[in-house]
Amino acid sequence: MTAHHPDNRDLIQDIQGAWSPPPTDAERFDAQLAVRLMSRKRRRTALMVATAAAAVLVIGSHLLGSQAHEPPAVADAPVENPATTAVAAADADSMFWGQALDHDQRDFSLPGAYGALDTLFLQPYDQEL
Amino acid sequence: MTAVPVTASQEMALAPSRDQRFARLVEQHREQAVRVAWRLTGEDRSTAEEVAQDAFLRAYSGLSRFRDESEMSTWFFRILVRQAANRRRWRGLRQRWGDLWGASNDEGSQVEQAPDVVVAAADPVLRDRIAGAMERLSPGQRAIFTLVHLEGFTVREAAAIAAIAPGTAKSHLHRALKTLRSELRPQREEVGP
Repeated sequence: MTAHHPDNRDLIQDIQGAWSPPPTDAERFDAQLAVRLMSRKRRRTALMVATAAAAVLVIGSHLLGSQAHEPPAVADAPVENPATTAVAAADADSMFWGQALDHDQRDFSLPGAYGALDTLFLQPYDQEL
Repeated sequence: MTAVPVTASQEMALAPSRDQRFARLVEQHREQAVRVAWRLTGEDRSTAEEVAQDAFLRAYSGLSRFRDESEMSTWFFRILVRQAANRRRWRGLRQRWGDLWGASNDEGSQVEQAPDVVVAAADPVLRDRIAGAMERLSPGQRAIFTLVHLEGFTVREAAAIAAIAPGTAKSHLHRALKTLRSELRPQREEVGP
């Protein structure tokens, strides 16, 4: 307990004596508190369940979605050069670009670049003709 | 008799559960918590009880962090003081809102009522004067004055509860006493010997 200065002692005693709340009904207080605690626990449980359900939904839909959009297997695609395997396997649609890249990877010289351009633009045109 | 060493798992099994610790916290601090909330908010008893319950509910989730009782008590009263400050701030906002819209019979005007002091022996004039004088104090001064002079905490404990430096707490205390003396002097001269 703090020792009060004599000047303050009377003042503090006056305040303590005249300015106090009525005693609390402990039983009622505890009952109210228990009700609030229970409802808080229930809310928290409901929130946790909802969060878990949302997480399951998100992960499930993501997994299903990724299966639906999975590109067709490219294992059977005729890949002659093993160096192009990685590019070809990445996407079956990019086969055309894979071949061009293959050219590019093989030869960075000017004739090599012409060869790549030839593969990209001229050969398909020639085949059509 | 030889003391049997207690293993960590045994200690955990022997340790009271969170609910038991909570029940003990409520049992120990219920009365004082309501009193502090009442003195800090300056509202009626039901509001003070609500503020005290809010503080207990907030304390519930963090109970496992504390083993030391005194440390837990300081922490709990810190929550309580913050809850009371929030309540006062919210009341101030409602009052300003009420003033702005000229509402005369809404909740904002109800909080102007004096606290329901039911100390039979207390002089109602002195009581109202004290309530008025306490309203003159800043929230920090009011909290420190209440904790130290009315609730018996040391200045250091009160400073820890209010999360301020002990020097600042002493300064709050000095100013609070000065204000209260000047506000209550005429009344005390009439009442006193």
